[in-house]
Amino acid sequence: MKRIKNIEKCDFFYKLKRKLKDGIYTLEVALHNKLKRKRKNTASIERENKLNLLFYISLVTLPLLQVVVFYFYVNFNSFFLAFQEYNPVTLRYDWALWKNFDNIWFFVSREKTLLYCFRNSALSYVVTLFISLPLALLFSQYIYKKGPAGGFFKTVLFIPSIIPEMIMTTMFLYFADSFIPATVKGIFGKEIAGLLTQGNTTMLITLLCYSVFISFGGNIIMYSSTMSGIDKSLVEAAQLDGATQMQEFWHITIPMIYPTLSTFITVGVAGIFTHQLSLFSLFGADGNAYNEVWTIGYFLYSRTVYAGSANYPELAAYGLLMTIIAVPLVFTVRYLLSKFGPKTD
Amino acid sequence: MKRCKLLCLIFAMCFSAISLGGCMGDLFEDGNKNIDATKVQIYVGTYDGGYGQEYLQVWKKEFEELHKDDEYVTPSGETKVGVEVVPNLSSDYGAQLETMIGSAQDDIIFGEAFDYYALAQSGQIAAIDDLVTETSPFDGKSIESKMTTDQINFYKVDGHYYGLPNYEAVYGLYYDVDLFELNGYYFNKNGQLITNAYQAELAAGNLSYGPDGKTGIDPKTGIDYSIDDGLPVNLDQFFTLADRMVEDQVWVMTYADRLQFYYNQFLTSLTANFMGRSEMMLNQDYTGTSYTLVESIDPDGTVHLQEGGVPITPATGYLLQKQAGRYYALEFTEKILDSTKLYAYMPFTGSKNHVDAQDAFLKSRYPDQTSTNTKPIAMLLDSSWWYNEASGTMATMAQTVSPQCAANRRRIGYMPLPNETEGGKQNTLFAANTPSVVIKSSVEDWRMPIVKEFLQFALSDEMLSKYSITTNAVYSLKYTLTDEDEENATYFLKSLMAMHENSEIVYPISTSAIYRVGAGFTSGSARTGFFSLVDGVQKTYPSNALGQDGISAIDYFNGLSAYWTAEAWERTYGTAF
Repeated sequence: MKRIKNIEKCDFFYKLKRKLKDGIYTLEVALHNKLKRKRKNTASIERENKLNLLFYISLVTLPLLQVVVFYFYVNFNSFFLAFQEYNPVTLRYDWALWKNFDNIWFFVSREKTLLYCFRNSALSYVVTLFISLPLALLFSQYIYKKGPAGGFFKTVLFIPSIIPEMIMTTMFLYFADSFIPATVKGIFGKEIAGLLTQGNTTMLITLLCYSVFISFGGNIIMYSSTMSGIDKSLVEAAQLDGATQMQEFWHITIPMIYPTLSTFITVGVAGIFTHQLSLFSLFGADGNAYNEVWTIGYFLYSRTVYAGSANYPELAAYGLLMTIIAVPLVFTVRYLLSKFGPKTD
Repeated sequence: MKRCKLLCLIFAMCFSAISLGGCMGDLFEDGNKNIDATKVQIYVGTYDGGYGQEYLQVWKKEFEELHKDDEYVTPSGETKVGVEVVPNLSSDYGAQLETMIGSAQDDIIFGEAFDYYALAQSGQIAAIDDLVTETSPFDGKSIESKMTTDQINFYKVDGHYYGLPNYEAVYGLYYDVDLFELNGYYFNKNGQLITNAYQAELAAGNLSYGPDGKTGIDPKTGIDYSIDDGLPVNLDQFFTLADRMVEDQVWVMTYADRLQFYYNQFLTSLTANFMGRSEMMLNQDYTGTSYTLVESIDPDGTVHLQEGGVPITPATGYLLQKQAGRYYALEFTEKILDSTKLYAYMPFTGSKNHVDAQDAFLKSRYPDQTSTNTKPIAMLLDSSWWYNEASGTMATMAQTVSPQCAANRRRIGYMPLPNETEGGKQNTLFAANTPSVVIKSSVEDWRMPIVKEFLQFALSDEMLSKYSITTNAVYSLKYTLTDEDEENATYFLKSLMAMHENSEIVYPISTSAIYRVGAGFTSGSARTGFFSLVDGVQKTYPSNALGQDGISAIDYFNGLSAYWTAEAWERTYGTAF
């Protein structure tokens, strides 16, 4: 009896599904008849061109507006500011030509702070390039090849990327400064300072590890998605030729995802000058983090956030200098990657 | 394909609309849509941290009650008056004002850390001479009469007032009075630590007169000089007390080591107290003579001062890095953060923020099974707004631990900072942050009178007293608590009021051009005051450098002058001289 009821229930849903499908199909046909392409004449072609134009305009307006406002407008002002100085009497900016650059050179040449910043920023990029990236590629290949529990790992590893950064950093602070020392004390009976304790030698390495950890999930999603677009026939051909997993990874996967890979390597170079190694989230904007772990991004941010009108010209000069270094570097890396990288053909 | 394009088009337009909508939104809006549109509203904005917004709610209630039967004439007829408090959660509220005040909803802004002169000269804030100088109908005094000479000079721009002082915040050490009394952590007239004999010495009137060298209540002024009786007067006594606390398994102090600028602010307070007002003001006005410049320091820490006074001008301001007060403050830091002495509770975790430190301090005498710390903490390093910030913790503790933990029953006081004398020196307080209150110039002419009236009402003696009772803090004007409020005041507030009345106060304000380009202790969020160059590395935070890097107070002090050479000073502040 129960079975009959279930069949009746299934039948009802089947019919409902059919009806819905029929309804959608009828709607599609009606829409098609209404919008169906008529024989193209000049007028209709013109109309279509206009529509296409409107389509493209609507797509590019926002990004263009963003570039104009947030890149050209903002930097336009900063560019001139780099050659000015603040007059505290008139409360205006007067021309100062190279004075700000001269001042930067004076302070940089006598202090190590900016050297630390360059070192840490470069180190951060090196770690990303030689540890984060290979790990992400290998794991992406594992997921792409549908290794056991690949989907599960994909989800779990992506979770840090969707949890708000402030929550992640708070948890990590607790982990590094409370959990680890308590665990070490519990197991070995030895008292150690928190890994992120200011001035502790473990601070920089902990920050670098956190950087790898936090970017891992996002990288995996990105690379595994790109890998899933690889033509299956290529892979099958390689397998028929007896290619091993590693050979397949090296000779098929890497060349096929190379455009994505090279783009992100290039963008990463530009990021050297802005990346702040989670220092802001972990230690706040006040330059609270220990000087020796600062990056260029954090240095500029912490100086800017509490700067007054008198400080802006020098900060603008810093920004301009960083651009002068970053632009040729980015183009060189891009050129080298396109010249010496693997070709998809 | 066509449908796909159509969909893309719709999406693109939606995104554009959302983005532009976001740009056009009022950045100062708090999302409160329940505004009574039938009333003419006065919008009052503030940063909803530290002292919070509750005092504004009290003023709102009182002002609306005052005008409950009045009709205000507007261009569209007569209507009632209302006050809307616009709390802002961004700690950059002050900085935002400089660019956003034109589009701000707020009519009156109780802000901090904004460039008052830039706003005044750009015409973005209203001239309020009438409001400041006229006798207030609410207390029969002008607001100007409640201001100090420094404040009057600072707030007058080209002969006009555009703003008024806001709250007063003092970074310092706040001590647990009950713990001190329990363990007898006071000194007698012979300079000896009392400990077990506290009650007997107290009864015999043998407590020392404390750092101010006075006791009792002055019948003329009503100032209570006894509030610091028995407390340490100099570094020697302070560390004698600290050593005793360590013996007793008591932490001397705790602080928010994650917010290192808190310690720098405290260091500024300490320096001000060592130096006194006139030497401290040199760091803002850069005009005068310094009599405390260090000639040399012996390895044992003995300081030799330069003989005679050294004239200070904006061009020679870098010489002030040699002021002895800075050294004494660094020497204090070197000792209190000495990791071998265990004075400070968890000084370098890097993860303890102000709330963690407050909680650790408040709960330290009431540990439970989950407590990581089981030793009492005698003092908290924080700013005076902490008591208001911790009101939630104290309310919870009053319910769950003991009614004695309630804010109005707990006895916590401001510890006068030690100096280098044997007592008898007036305390010098350094008020942090340059908080000001201004009225936006774009307030409509027909609303301006009522907006000004609200501010005049708020700064009347009675309302200032209510401010103090609500926030447990002092407002940066001269006033006294009403009798009723005096009776209900917490020990904490009484202690702050007594210190305020009994001290010279240095406000971080100056009309000098060099101060306006950032030369001063607290510019750049209290970091520039202690820039030091040690072995080619710029040090910003003495707490870390001295406590962890093993740099000595003498080296750090010499590094101040190494950083601020004549050339570095000229390159940084040269536009002002």
